[in-house]
Amino acid sequence: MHLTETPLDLEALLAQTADDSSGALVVFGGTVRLDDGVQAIDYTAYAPLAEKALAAIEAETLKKFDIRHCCLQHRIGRLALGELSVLVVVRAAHRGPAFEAARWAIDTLKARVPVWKEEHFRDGRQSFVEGQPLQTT
Amino acid sequence: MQITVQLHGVLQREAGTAQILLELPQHTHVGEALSQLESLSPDIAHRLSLCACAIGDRVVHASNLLHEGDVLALLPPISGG
Repeated sequence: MHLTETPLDLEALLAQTADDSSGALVVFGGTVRLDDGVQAIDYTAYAPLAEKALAAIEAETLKKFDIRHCCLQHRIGRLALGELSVLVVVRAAHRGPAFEAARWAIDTLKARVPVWKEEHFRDGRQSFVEGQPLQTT
Repeated sequence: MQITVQLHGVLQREAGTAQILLELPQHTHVGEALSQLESLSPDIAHRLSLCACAIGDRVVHASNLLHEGDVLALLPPISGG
């Protein structure tokens, strides 16, 4: 499953992608950051399409770059400051393609996976992040 | 026929509900359903043009035909990652 309500498990993704022929490992993790008084973020998703899009992005990343593994995982539910919301794990023989692939994968996730963030502020306000229209092609 | 419109993200907050039932004539397209929704739900009408639509794991477009029992998910601009 690419969506989970439990804390993201980097060790599990590293074990899942362990590969003696890969000399490069790139991990991107997105975390909830302190910004203008944000104290928590609620992440929600349209699961049927989000799961499909995450799997497709993994497959496309593998095809597009000279890499051996690509795993994406996104958390949903309420996250506090510092908690991981998303993980991208890429392994390749060499670091160049690994870095490029990880960057492409997270940029593409942000354009194509139906997930929404609602920020909760210390002063009691809550507000959805404006976002970008879902890219469907 | 009846379909369920499933609201996500800010749509749910502004409409005050997670779903809306629509009674529609047979052979209604997604675009026509959205036009009806605009009239019924003025609180979210201004956001509909920026929404993607899906049924199950398929993205659908204005010209797609709807069927009895369809659950049409409205997906406002996204902010994942």
